[in-house]
Amino acid sequence: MKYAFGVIRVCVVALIINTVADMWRKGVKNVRDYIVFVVVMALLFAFDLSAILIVLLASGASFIPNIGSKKP
Amino acid sequence: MIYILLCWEFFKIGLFAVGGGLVTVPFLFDLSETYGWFSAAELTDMIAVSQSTPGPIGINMATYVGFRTAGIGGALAATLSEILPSMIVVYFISRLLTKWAEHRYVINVLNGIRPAVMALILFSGWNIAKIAITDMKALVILLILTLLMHFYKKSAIFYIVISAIIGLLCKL
Repeated sequence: MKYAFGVIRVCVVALIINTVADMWRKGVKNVRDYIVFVVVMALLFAFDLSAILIVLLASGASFIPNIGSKKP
Repeated sequence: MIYILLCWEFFKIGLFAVGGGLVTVPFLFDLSETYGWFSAAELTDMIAVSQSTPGPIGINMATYVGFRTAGIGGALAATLSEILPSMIVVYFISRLLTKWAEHRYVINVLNGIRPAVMALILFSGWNIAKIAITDMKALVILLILTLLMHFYKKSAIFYIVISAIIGLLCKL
């Protein structure tokens, strides 16, 4: 089983990459979305903030005006 | 005490994990770091098992983590606590739906959360990758699987079973 789970873990990473790619295609619509994504990634790598705090902070991003909308 | 903790933590996950099952993964990473109920490697295995079993992955994860932490009682506590916020929110939203669902602030808040959720999931993927990608062979398998998933849209179970077979046959 050790060998099976070794490759399954790799598969889980691929599933996550694929899920984010699908979400990106459907969900990223404007410059604000890019900014929020980059800022959150930077915060996670720099400070490893809790997921709850990130969600709360991101809800505040609604106050950033939408610019450069690429999809309707 | 463990049941109260499980209830509280999974209630918070149910409340804040907006956007689908895999969104619970970063929250579970936080639990792993805070309480040490399971390791990051065990969490990765739980994700694979939850993806392979029937039902929403978020709920399966709650049941699995609850069971690993405190047996059947823990599974019940975690699962019920995770669905409780959604039930409460849906109950009230269904009453206020016509008034608030298309309110621009509500839509704006949900739109603001979406890219953050993507970043959270990707960061969890990075944390799992640190455990899973131990050598060049694993990296090559990751690239092949990612491309296959991109071009051939099969279910997660299909890829997990294939991965298990590859692991067993090749002893990777």
